[in-house]
Amino acid sequence: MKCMKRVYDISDAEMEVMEKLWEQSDGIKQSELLALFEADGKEWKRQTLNTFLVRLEGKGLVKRENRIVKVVHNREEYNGMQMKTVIDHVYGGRLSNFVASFVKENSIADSDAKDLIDFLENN
Amino acid sequence: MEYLLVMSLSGSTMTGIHLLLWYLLKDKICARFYNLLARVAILYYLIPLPYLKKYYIAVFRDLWPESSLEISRVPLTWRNHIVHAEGAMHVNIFASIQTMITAVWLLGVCILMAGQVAEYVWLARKAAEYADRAMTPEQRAFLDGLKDQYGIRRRVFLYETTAEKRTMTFGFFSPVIVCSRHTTSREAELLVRHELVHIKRMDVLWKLFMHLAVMLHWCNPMVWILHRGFDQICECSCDEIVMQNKSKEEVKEYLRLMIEEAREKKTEKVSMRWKSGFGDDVRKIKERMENLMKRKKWNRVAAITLVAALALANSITVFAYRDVFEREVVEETSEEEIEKTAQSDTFLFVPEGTEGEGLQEFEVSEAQERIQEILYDSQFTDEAGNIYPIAEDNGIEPYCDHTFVSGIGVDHIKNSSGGCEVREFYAQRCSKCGYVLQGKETIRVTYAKCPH
Repeated sequence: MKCMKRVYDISDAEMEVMEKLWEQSDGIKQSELLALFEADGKEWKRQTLNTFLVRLEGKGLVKRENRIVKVVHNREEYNGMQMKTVIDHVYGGRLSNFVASFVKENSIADSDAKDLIDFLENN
Repeated sequence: MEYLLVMSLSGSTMTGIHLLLWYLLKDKICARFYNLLARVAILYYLIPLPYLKKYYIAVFRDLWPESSLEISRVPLTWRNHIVHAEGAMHVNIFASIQTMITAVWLLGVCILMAGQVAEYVWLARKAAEYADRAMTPEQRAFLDGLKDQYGIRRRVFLYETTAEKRTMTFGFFSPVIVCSRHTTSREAELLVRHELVHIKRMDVLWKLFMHLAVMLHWCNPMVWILHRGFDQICECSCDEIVMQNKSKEEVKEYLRLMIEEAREKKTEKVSMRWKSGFGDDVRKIKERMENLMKRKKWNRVAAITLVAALALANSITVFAYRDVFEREVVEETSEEEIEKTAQSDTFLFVPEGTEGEGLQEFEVSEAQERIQEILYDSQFTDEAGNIYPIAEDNGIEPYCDHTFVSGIGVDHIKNSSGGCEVREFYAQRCSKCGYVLQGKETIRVTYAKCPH
């Protein structure tokens, strides 16, 4: 759950920052990023933006190199990664652990599959 | 607690009907019928049916005015007893213990369920968010086209994945279909159709209800049996809807895909509790295949009528519930008396037509003529004049259905000064177990010297 939260916990404001960063494929200076938000009518202070960036950095989604801010994953990678985490959690995470007694064996062997195909074709 | 037990009983009888029909007529009746029946059984486990008892009694009385249902109003020793006094409520020990157990039981279920549901809803919302971002216009058009065919208006999201080799649906409000095939393929169409049927029928929500019923009645083996077969019934009925009016070849194509899907999940061992999965183990897949290949006929009206009739017949289990016995006390009653009344396990009944009668007091000589012959300190005399002793503990047989005969009860209490007090009251005695129901007191005489 802790690991999962690290990935999921992105506030709306942080997502706005990510959206802006994804539009800048080569990265952007923090001051320029602030200007972009100002152009959108957001009156964020430098410190506010920095807080968001620090948080995103902590979550492994953003990196800063030579005062240039860059995303670690592109939009599709990020989305796929988040979705996979959700699916993995629903499949085999805490929710499934609650019903351990109901866990079923879901695989069928190739020989079983062949038998079932034969059964299907002969009926 | 009695509520829970009656709910458990009514759910169990419905489960029994479901299982009986399944084993007897499995090859003849559509899985959709069994799915309907299973859902009714789940509702019986969850709905506090005993609330309906008074309406049932009213209906029975209208139909059969001389009905012997009065007997159900006879209080037993082990019974919830509430005394209302000046807006406050006093309950007997039996009711207190029951309330406490029920409260702890329900609290436990609520805590467990709340945590799971909250986490599940949160995950489903996140999944919908990510799936929405990832959906291409082609996928949206594909999904909307199929949604229209099934008349689904809710927001549904489709997420195509090759990493997760399972097609499934999860989420209650904005469900997400995770599809293991490329959405332009024929296989994807079949898989998504299957999942859309689950969405239309709110199967995920029903699985949640099933889970709630299991948690609520965990000590009832019937609920576990129903739970064990519910997924399979759900999948079988879903297959039937997807393949309704399809050719034999199309059914075979669908079944081949089912086998293929199951074969691909070699490394997964997952719970299917709250999600509608596609495919299962060999026996279950074979059962689903046989169910589809038999091409059973479905008559919606007949199925709903039959299920409704069975549900109505099963609702008769409300009579297993013993009403809470409630009484009012007058405002001047002291706390001590109220508590004594609440803890009393004897119901003081008032025979019809005697409501206005007060306690009669007589001169000793006159009373001697009126009072019954005294053979025991506590006795009952029936209308034929037969005298029976009343046991000190007036021991009641809890499972006796009681057949009461009317008569007169007498208590003879000696005092330390050599005198005695004789009390006569209306009474009813069960001819089976000997339990005596005490009625209104009619005569009380105090003797300075006991003549008995």
